[in-house]
Amino acid sequence: MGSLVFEHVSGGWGSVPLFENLDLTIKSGTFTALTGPNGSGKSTLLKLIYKEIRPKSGAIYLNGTDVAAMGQKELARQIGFVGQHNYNDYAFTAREAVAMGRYAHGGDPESAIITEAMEACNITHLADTLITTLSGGELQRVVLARALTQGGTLLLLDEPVNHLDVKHQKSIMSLLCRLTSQGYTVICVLHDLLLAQIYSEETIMLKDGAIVAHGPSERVFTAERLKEVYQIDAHQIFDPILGRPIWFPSHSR
Amino acid sequence: MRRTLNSILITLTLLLALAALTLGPSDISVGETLSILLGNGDSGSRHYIIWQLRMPRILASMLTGAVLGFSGAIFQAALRNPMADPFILGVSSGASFGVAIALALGLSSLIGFPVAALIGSVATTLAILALSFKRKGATTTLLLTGVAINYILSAAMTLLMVMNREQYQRILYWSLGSFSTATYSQVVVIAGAALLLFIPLSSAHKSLDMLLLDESTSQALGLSVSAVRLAVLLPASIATAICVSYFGVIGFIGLMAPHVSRLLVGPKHKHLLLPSALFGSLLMLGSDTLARILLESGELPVGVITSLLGVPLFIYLLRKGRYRYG
Repeated sequence: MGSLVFEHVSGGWGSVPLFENLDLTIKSGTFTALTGPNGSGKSTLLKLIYKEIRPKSGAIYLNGTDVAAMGQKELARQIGFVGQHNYNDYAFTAREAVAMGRYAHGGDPESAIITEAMEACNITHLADTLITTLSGGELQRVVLARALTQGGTLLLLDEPVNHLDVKHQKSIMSLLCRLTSQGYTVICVLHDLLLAQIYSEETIMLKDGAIVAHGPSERVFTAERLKEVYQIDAHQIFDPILGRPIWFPSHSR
Repeated sequence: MRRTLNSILITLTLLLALAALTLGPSDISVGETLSILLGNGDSGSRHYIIWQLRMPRILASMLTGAVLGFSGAIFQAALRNPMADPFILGVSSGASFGVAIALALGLSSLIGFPVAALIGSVATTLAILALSFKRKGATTTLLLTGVAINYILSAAMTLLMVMNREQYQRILYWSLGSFSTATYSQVVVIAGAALLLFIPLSSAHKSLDMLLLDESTSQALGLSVSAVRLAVLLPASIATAICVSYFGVIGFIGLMAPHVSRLLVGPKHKHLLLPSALFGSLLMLGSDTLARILLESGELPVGVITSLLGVPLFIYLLRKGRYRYG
């Protein structure tokens, strides 16, 4: 298994680069949360990895290969993607929607990989259901299954549990943890800092295109850092299940 | 279901074509028409009416309908917008503006018109792509860009007509759409354009499906979005331009045919493209036949009929609650 390395990367939308000389290494087989305020560069960082945005300078290496030298399909075979916007305007069946993940492989709709991915995401029973009729949680699992069929072991997810209720948030986050234990590397943009602290092993905290902290989640979250990055006061509460304290935004009456 | 639908559409179109051959100011019976088609019977005026007047017109309307229906499905996928079709987005107006300039310059109609239309439509397509996709292709931006382009081009057309009063009537009639001047040469050109459009783009059905996803996702799943979008829009714009250059601007077929097909066979382009073309063909032939026979003397512009049929159907589809483009 390889890793993902950013080497002196500058770039972003528009003429003024958001990232300047960014260095970053993400170990394989980890669950990394990407956090930071709106506009800090979380989604842009993902876009640089799957080449929706090209860096102005520097290079990004996936398993030792410069992604700039990889074709879009080759890259798609190595990186599974769950985007922020999942339109379900068109009445594809869930299985057809999942099968789209095989596009870069020539699109074999009967592939056993599709069945396996649907089983992993617990949506086998929805195979013939139109995605226009799915609930938010079901649709999100379809989208995750599609990412698994892409065949890569790196998963990029941009706010995958937004708009989901707690039960569905838990089901998606637990599934991502299971995938990490099976060898996947998960990089997940999260706005919810509690989810980041509970589920991710590592956290990258961004502010204005710079990495403020990167390391084990329990060390990244501190009162000072939350104040610096989010301008919020926070307090600790001990979580007996995790066996460690987690930070909550303080509510002053 | 899909095969049955295609067979039904082909049968209906052929039956309608046969009926259309018999209909017109000169009443020719079905039996007589069939015997003329089989090479027997009258070789005088009726033979001429069937083979030289009605047949090229029927073939031209069928092929044009097929091209517009197919192109509509391509536009809707490439721009990820169910409202997109060459007519609404101003691509047809771009083509028609090109032809109006060709008319004013006195260029020949078989070659000069299509070339002028082609330049007008491709320029419009590129302008729409450049203007609307700067802001990540928001639906509203795209439609408003199309509406704005339509306004500019129609103002320019009016200006051209005012400046060329002797061509005024010709430009106006042609801009409303008519197959009354269809010739076999035009049929051959459109058949060629249709083949060049249908064969490569039908094999790109998986890429067309991928274009229905949001741009970030389709890119991350391996689609080179901008390149594919351009590669499918250009042939669709060119084929539309050729049809417009011969028969004027005929709206709503490109919008209606894919929507009705999608309701029946779903959104997968593997199954959607053929019925879109067949529906387009049937609708256009039906509209042209009505345009030909509704008035006692003279005929209506076919664009009037397609709009009269198209708008109610379109509003019905929009109001039908559960319809979500498939």
